[in-house]
Amino acid sequence: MKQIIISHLCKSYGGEPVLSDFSAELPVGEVTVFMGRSGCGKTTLLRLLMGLEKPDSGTVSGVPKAMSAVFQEDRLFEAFHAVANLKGALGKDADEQAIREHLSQLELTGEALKKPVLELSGGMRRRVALARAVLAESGILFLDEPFDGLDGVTKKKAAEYVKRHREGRTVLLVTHDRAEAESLGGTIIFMDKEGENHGREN
Amino acid sequence: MKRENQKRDEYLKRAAAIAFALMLWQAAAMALSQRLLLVSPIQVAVRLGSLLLEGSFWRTVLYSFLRIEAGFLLGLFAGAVLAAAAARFSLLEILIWPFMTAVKSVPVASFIILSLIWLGASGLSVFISFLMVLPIVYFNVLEGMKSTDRKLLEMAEVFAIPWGRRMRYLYLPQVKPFLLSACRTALGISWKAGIAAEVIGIPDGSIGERLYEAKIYLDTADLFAWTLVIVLLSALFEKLFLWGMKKGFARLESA
Repeated sequence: MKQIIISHLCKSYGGEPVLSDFSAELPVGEVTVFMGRSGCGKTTLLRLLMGLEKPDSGTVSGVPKAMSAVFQEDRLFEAFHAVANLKGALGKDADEQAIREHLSQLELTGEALKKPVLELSGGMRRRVALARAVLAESGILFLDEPFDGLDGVTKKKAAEYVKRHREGRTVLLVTHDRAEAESLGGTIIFMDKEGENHGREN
Repeated sequence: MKRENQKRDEYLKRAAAIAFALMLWQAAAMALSQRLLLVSPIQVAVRLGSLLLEGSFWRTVLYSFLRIEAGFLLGLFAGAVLAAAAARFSLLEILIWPFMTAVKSVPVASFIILSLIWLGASGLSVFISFLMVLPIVYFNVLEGMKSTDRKLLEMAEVFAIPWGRRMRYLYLPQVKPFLLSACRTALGISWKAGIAAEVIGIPDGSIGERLYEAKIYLDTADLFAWTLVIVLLSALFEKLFLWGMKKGFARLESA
C-alpha cells in the first residue's frame, strides 16, 4: 500500500522546538487523525506536509500533489459571496450547480449566499471553507480543526458531509477533541509535547 | 431621517461659506477697483459666458482634456501593470526603483523642458501627465499588493490557484483602496502639471496657450475664467472616473 512517509522531522521557531524527531507512516487514501493539546505541533506538522514550511531536518515523501485544506482560520475572499469564493478557488474544478448543491448540504442557502462572506457568522464561514476543501479536485485533504466554531448538530452534519464526499482521498485531520477525532473514522495518532508520537489507535 | 437632515445642514453651511467667500471677493475687487489686479466674480462669470459662446472654446477644452486624460490613463495602466509585475518578481522591483524614484523627485519643470526637446509641444501634456501619474499609481499599487494577507496567499498556494484568478479574487480587492486613493491624487495632479506644461510649451490651441495669452495681455478676467474651466473639468472627470471605477469593482465582486 502507498504511504506518506514522515521521517525524523524537526522544526523549531526562534530556538523553541515545536516538533522534534517526529516520524510516522500514513496510509494514502485513508483518514489519519492527529490528536493532542494545543501547542503540541499538530498545525506545524500539517504545514510541513503541505510544503508551506521547510523542516530544520528530516524528510517527507509521498504527499499527493493536488492538495486542498481547511486551515485553522477560514482564509476566504472576504469581499465575495460564498459561491464566488468557491469559484475563485476552484476554477473549473466545480461548476456553479455543484457548488450550490454542496453548500446546501451544509445548510448554506438563500440569503446566506447573497452576502459577502465577511458578513456571515463564524459557523457559516467555516462551512464555506469546508465545502471549498471538499469540492477541490485534490488527492489529499488537510483539515486543521475544521469543525471549530460549529455547534453540536452542525458539527455532526459537517463530519458526515466530509465522509460522504471523501471519495478515497487521503484525509489528515488535526483536532484536540476526542469526539471529533473519531467522527471521520480512521487511525488516530496521539501527539504529546513537541510532537512525540504516543502510539496509535485504529 | 436625522442623518438626512444633518447632511442637508452640512450642504447649506457649505453653500453659505461659498456665498460668503464670493461676497468677500466681490467686496475686495470693488474696494481695489483695479480690474488688472483683481477682477470681480461677476466679471469672471460674464467672461466665462462669452467664452462658452466662442467656437474655439470647446476645441481648446477638448484639446487639453484629451491629452491630459490620455496621459493619466497611460500612467494608470503602466503604473498598475509595473506594480503587479514588481510585486511578483523582486528583481524587477529593484530594477524599476531608480527610475520611479527619479520620476517622483525630479521637478516637473525639468521634465517639461526635456519633453519639449524630445517631443515638441503637441505631445507635451500627454507625457507630463503620464509622468506625474506613473509613480503615484506604481508606489500605491505596489504597497497594496505587498499588504496582501500572507495567510490568503498560502491558501492560494495550497489550492494551486493560477495567477489570473489570484489577481481577481485575492489581489484586486486588497489593492482596491490603494488604487482608488492613488487615482484621486493622480487625477488632480495630472491636470495641474499638464496645464503648467502647456503654459511653458504653449502648444497651439491648448488651454495653456490661453492662460499664456492672458499673461501677455494682463487679462485677469480671462485667467480667472479659464482657471475656473480647468477646475470644473478636473472635478467633473474625477467624479465620473471614480464612480466608474467603483462600479467596475462592484461588478467584479458580485460575479
